[in-house]
Amino acid sequence: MKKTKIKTKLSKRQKRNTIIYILLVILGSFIFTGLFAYAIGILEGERITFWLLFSFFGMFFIVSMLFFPVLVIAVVLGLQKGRARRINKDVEFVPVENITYYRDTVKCLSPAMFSILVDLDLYGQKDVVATLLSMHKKKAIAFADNGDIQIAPTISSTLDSSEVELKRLIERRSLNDKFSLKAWKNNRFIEAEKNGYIFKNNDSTYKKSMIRLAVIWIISLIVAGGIWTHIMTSISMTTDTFVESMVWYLIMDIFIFVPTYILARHAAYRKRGDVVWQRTALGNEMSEKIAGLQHFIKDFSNLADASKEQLALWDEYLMYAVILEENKKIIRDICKANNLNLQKFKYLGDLY
Amino acid sequence: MGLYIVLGCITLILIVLTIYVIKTYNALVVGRNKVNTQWAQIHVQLMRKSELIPNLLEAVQAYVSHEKDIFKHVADARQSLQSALTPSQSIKANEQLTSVLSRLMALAEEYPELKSNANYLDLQANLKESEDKIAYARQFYNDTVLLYSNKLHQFPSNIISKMFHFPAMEYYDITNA
Repeated sequence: MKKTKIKTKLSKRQKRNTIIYILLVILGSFIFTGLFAYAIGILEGERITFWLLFSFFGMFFIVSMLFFPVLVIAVVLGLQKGRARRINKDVEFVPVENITYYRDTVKCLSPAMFSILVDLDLYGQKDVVATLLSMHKKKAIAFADNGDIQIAPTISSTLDSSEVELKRLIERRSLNDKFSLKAWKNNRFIEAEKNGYIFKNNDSTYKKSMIRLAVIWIISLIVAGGIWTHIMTSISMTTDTFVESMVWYLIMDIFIFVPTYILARHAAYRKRGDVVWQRTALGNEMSEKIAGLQHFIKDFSNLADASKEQLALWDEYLMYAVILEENKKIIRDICKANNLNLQKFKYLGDLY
Repeated sequence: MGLYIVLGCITLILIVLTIYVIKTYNALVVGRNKVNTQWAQIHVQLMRKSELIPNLLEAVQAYVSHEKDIFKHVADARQSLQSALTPSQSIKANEQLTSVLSRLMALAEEYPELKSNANYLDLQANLKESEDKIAYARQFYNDTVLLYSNKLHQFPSNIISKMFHFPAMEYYDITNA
C-alpha cells in the first residue's frame, strides 16, 4: 500500500527552508552583480531595463566565478536536503486500513511512545510536557497555582517507565540537564523497540558509502583546483576569452558543487550514523491511528486554545494536541512557570 | 485608454469577489458538514447507550421486580431518545434517560447480589464507556459548532451566510437540556 505521512510542523518547514536559501542566494547575487556593475561604471548611461537584464544574467557568472561560496552553498543545500529527506522519511508510514479520521484514544501508548510513532524522534519541550500532563492526570504530580510542579506524596502504580524516570528527574531537579534528558530519550527508544513498535535497521553499508563519497569529493576538489589553476595561468581575461573562461568556471563549479552536495546530503540523512529506526507492522498500525487522530483533532476541535486546567475535560486528547504541536500554549505556560529550559533534541541539520 | 483601465479594474474586483464568495461558501458548507458529522458521532453513541437499556433492565428486574414505576420511566425515556428527530430533542431525551438511570443505579446499590452479578457489572461498565464517549463527542461537537458559528457571524462571511441561508447550529449544552 502507498506510504502516507504524518504532517508535523518540522516536516512542513523543510521545503520552505530550501526555497528560502535558494532565493537568498539568487537575490544576493543579483544585488551584488548590480552593485559591481555600478562600481566599475560599465553600465553608465544605459537604461534601467538593460541594467536589470545585465544583473540577471551576470549573477550566474558571478556565482560561478567564486570558488568558496559555491562550496558553502553546496554544503548548506546538501545538509538541508538530507535533513528534509530524513524528516520526511521518519514521518512516513505504511497504512493498513486507510483511516481518514480516528476518533478514539490510543490509551495503550504513553505520550513518549505516541511521539516516537509520530516522527521517530523525541523533542525536549513538547514530549516532556505531554508526559508531565499524563503524570498530572494520574495524580503523580500536581501543578501549583503559580504553575510549579509538585510531586504527590504517594507513588501511583499506574505510572509507566517513561513517567517513573521523569518523576525521578523532577525529584533530582535535573529536568534542565540535557544529558539526563538524552538518557531519558534513549531509554524511550529501547522501550519502543521492546514494545514492538520500532526496530533497529543496522545499515552496515553506511560507513562504506560515506568513505566512498568522501574519496570522490577529495578527487573532485583536486580536479576543481586544477581547473582553477588552468584558468588563472593559461587564460587571460580579455573580451575574446571571456566566454571560454566562464565555461571553465562552470565546469569547476560542477566539480565542486555536485560531490559536496551529495556528501552533505548523505551525512545529514543519516542523523544517527549507521542506526536507522523503522516502524514495525504494529508501529505502522499505530502511526495510522495517530495520523487519523491528528486529522480529527485538527478538523473538529479548538484544542489550540485549551489550557492545562482543561486536562480534566479533555484527558488524553489534550496530551495528543501537545505532542502534535496543535497546542503550544500549555508548553509555554509549564516551561515558563518552572523555568524549564528544555533542550530541543537536535538533528544534525539543526546545527546550521 | 482610461475606459479600459476602469473596465479592467472592475473585472479584477469582480473576479476577486467571486473567488471570495466561492471560498467562503465552500468553507461554510464544510463547517456545516463537520457539525453534522460530529452530531452523527453523538447520535451513534446515544443509540449505543439506548441499546444497552433492555439488557440492563432485564438484569435488574431479575432482582428488583417490584419497582415497576422506575422500569416504566426508563423504558419511556429510552423510547423518547430513540424517537427524537432533532439534536435538541435527543439532548433532552438523553438527559431524562441519564437522570432516570442514575435513580435505577442507586436502587441497584441496595441489592448486593445484583451488584456482584457479572452481567450487570459488564452492562454498567459499557454504560460508563458510552457516557464517556458521549462526553468527548459533545466536547468535539461544541468546538465544531463554535468554529462554524464564528464563520457564520464574522464579517464579511456573515453576508454570504445570510445570502445562502446557512442555519445557526445549537450547542450541546447540558444546563439547557
